[in-house]
Amino acid sequence: MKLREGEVRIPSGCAIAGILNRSGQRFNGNTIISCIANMHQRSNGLGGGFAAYGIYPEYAEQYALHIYYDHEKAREECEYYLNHNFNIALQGPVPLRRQAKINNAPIIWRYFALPKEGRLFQEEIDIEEFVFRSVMYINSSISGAYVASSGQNMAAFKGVGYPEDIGEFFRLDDYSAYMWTAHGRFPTNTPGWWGGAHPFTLLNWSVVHNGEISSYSTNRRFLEMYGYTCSLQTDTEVITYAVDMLMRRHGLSMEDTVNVISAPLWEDISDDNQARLRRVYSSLLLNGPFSIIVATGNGLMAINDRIKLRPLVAAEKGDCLYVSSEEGAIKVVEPSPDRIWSPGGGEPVVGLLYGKEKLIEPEPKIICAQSA
Amino acid sequence: MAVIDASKYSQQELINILNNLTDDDIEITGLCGQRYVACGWKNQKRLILEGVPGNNLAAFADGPEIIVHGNAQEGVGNTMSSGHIQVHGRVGDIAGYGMRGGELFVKEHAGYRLGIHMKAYQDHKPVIVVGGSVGAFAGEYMAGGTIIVLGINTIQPLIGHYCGTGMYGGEIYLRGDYPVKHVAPNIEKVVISGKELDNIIDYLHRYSIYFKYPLEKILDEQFTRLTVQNVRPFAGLYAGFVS
Repeated sequence: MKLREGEVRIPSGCAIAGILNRSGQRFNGNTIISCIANMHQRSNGLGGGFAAYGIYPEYAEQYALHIYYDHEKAREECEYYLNHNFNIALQGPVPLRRQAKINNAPIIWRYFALPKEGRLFQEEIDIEEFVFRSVMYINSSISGAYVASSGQNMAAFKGVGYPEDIGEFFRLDDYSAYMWTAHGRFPTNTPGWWGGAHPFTLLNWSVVHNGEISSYSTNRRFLEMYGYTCSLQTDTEVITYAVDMLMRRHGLSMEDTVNVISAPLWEDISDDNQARLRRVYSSLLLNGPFSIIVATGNGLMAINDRIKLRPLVAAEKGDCLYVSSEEGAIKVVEPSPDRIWSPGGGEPVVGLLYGKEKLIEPEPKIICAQSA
Repeated sequence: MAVIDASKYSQQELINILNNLTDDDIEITGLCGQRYVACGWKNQKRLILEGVPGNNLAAFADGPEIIVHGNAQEGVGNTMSSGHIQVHGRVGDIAGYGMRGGELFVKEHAGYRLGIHMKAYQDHKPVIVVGGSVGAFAGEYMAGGTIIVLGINTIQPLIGHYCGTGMYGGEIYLRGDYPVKHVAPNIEKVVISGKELDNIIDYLHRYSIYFKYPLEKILDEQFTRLTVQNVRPFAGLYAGFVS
């Protein structure tokens, strides 16, 4: 007899995990797969994904565009657009290990590309802004094409399935990275589809998220005024765009960004700066329960909502920093960490590569200076 | 004694094996996040756990004695009715959620929402003793039972924000200094000493034995008892309706 809704309990709740080697030493994708597979029960097979940093050293300067197509026509249309705007150094399908557990995969290609200088001159914008606008254009205007990732020396591998099967499918054992993040999905309010799996990425940013953003519509309307189009039907998308806007475009420090997205309650706001941020960016407060890992090429930041409605554990061993929804997932790959702790609500855990001081360096890149 | 290596089994297999064992003494090794150990057990079995038991350890349990050599995750002793749990490490969030009897001793820290909705009835009196500090919302909506927080080896504040918010029964005992502004406004705070400690001295004594920490050092600092000033704090909420 088939059980109906209400007669069956699915005890899931999304899982996140991240591992950073601060010395930049790269390690195989199997480690993060073991980590996220340990929390199998937190997902329900409707989404899994990984972000990997440092995997394309041969093409480190190029933007690695990983794009999903629903059909060949979308690929033709998107490649026409890319050829017009980018110099493509290399392109081809992403290597996959086809298997029974992963079905209905889209056509998955990657392109190592840099914007054409002529196009940058015409648009009078810097390279990152150009790539950002291209991603928004493809996602919103080319029917059946979705950008999975668009950063340098990094990529997102995501789809519908349990995360360990998605890892197999994308042959993550063939890659090594100095930082991996992972997600196991239990979609609650939105469909489980390939473009809607985590991580959500833009340029070098990637975000994996456990929870739900009740303020999605408020955040989305605010971001739309600044040119961000939310087209992937998942609340997590606004987190990626919010950190991109605050830290890359507006040049906010990490502390200030945290004070915006996970602001203290009004009664706990202690100084003018916090109060000002709370007013100016009130529409970017992420309301609702969440634990997230935000990563860039320089490192990662894991943070909870301000009253910690989702679990988060962090651990350190030598050069490595681990963050995860559950302690078991850390202990399965590192049985004896030097230190293990639960960060409080709104209290970020930050891990940066040695020699890096920020998640991104926000100097504006002027086109003329680059061409000279 | 039966010895089970948890790493050899899937989650479901492990739970099936444990539920079908007839032994009274069981040791489980190699735990790493397996959920629902001793969940719903109505028996007097003795369990020794090595590793990290997963979420909802001993949830709804009624009677078993459990010793964890390591840390535990979220939801330890969730809604348990009776029994004894000792964790020789730290516990995650919502430990002792809705607990209605039995004991939970934690050597180190506890996460957010410790003992929220705890309740007591006649001789069912749940007790939680935490050696380190606790996260925010400890004892929120607490209706009965006892929470004791010792603050041993901690650099964190003893309690997080909103301790005892909405509390209307039970007692929370805090050892040493604590951030007063983290305690909910309708809570009565009384510094206690000497004979007034009789209610909890047995628990302190047992903490010192279980985790090998001298009782004299525990008693070195003063204790503060938090209780509700008015057992019906919201009785006057609706105007004109006086009970």
